[in-house]
Amino acid sequence: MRQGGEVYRYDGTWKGFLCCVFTCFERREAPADIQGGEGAQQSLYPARYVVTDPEQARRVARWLNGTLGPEVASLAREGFLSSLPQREMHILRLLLLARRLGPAAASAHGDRSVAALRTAVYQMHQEAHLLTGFIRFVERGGVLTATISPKHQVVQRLGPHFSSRFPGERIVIFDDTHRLALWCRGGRWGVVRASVQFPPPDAAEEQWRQLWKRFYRVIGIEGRENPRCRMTHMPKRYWKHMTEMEEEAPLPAHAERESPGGLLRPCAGKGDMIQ
Amino acid sequence: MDLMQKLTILTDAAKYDAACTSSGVGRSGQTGGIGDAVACGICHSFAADGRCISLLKVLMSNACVYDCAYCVNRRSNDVPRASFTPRELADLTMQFYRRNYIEGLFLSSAVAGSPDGTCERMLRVLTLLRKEYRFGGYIHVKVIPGADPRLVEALGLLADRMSVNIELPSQRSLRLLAPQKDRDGILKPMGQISQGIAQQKSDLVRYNRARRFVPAGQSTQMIIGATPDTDYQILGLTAGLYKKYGLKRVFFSAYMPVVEGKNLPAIGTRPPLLREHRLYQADWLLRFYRFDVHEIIDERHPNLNPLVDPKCSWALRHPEYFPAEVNDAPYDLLLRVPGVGVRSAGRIVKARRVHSLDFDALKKIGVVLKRAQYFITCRGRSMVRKQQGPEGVLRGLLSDRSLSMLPGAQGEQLSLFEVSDEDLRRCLIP
Repeated sequence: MRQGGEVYRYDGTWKGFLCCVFTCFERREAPADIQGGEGAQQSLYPARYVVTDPEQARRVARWLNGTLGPEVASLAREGFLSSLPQREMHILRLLLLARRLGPAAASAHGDRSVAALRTAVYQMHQEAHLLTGFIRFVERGGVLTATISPKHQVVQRLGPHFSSRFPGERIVIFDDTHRLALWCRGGRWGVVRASVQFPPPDAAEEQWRQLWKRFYRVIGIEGRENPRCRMTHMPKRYWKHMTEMEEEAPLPAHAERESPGGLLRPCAGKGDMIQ
Repeated sequence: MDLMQKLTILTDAAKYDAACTSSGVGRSGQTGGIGDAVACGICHSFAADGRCISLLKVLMSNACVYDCAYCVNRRSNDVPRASFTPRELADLTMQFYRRNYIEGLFLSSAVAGSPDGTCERMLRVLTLLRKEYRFGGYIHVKVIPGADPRLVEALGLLADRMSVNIELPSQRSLRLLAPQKDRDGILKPMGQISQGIAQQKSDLVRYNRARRFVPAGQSTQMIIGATPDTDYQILGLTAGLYKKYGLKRVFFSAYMPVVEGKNLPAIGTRPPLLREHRLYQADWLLRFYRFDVHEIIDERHPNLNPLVDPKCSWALRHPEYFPAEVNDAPYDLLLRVPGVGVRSAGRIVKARRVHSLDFDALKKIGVVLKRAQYFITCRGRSMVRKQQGPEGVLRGLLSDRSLSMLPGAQGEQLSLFEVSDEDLRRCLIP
């Protein structure tokens, strides 16, 4: 395909991106870059605004899921959720490669874009897997709540895990990087765009937190202390939201005080459903 | 005594147990219950010593009647003693589990009173968790040697994994340090569990609703460095255990001197962490890399090389297999190339069906070229310019830490100012 000199701008959604792919095939030239949502930057290339058309998106999706095989399709879809820089261009290059090679393109580990997408998707899976362990719930009024700051959009991957594990609990996990909130209740789950701030834990909750901190401190063997090994397995960026990485302190006097405003205080956004 | 004190004492007493895995069984959550199990296991935290915390690892009680010389809980040691009541421990587990602190419970105990009495208390905890709280998370339970086989079976029907600690690699060492335990007393429950698992496997084929007995298999652990046993003995025993009892894991625990004893290393001796690390690497070769124990170690060299890992060590001793051409070498040989792991070997096999591989592609695949370069060619070409002898290859393979352990490790330092005899003569005689 001919290399064109345009930058495609789209609305940042998956469907919008599929329309960019459609436009690219229709015009028979590859764009210089594809920019979506808030990530749009000033550039010297002329911009083309790609309007999201459900019919075009459906046609590309059918080609992707049908002709190119499940492995290429999932690599593209999951790569889109990762935080890989220029992920749209990498996915486009993957699709162009798959047009030549068919489903085998997903195994072309030596290709620049396939390798980059594979790595990004692997890192996203890894991050989601680590978070299934590192998330710390704090019970607030019968609801288990947690805040996370992941690099990639992982809440969609966390939903099935926590809703199946705790079918009888109500859960809210807030992703403060992407401003998404995951809710689980009665074995079902969903993601909403929202901004949430949780009040501090109450006295009964604080007791369990103290017990856990004590357990964490005691279980380590002093003679084998190895901070580098710990950081390899549990990178520091996760520590911010982990109970045991806070100071082990005596119970603060004001811990029982209920903070005003109830459990969830939506700050911004209207809580529009996205899944 | 409040819960905080009990937890402190009984965690402190349990921390020398190496195993903390939650893998081997996949089970989805049940409505009305709480918890599931993930086949690959989940680590919930990592302690200051870098070890994974996945289970709430505590003792039921640390008031032991035995007097094993190496153990911190031995009768003659002066430490505070405590015991959980079954209800206390079950509640603690549930509360920790709900907050996603842990993946389940790792329950062990000192022999408080008699082996049977101890086992009964442990059984009560497991019954509370599984039947009353309908807990579906992971439970690892330690078998007390000498307990009634019926109790062992009852525990096995509620737990996911069971383990019997083999403690020391030889009968002689066992007699020296743990006079009240004997090899048969340890191997008997191990045999019972492995038979139970085999029985259950055939039952599952025959009956629709067969009872699950220890679905995640059994494991064991031995202490390294408390006795003069060699790596050859340890790995030989390990391979034997995998073969004979079908164990899922054998754990090694570098001995950390915690009590004085005339047959023990002195207090203050550093635990042999590097040796433990090399043993685990060898263990991985046995389980995932299709190595036989006799290829890793033999009687003439009864200890593993501390400088390089056992796989590199094997490759250096067998130059006849190398260099391997990545584009057509069989999978088994790829697995044996240092710097190529199970994952990258699989990717190489897949990727070379699509296009031929060069070094750049190998790097993208995740091969560690620093080690692999000496053992592979891509399209007939090697990455190493001049042929180095085994000495040079060894030097290239060593990590910085191992290099500093080597005598005369600095290599040849060239100096700008050092004048050789030859140069001096040339200067003086024009």
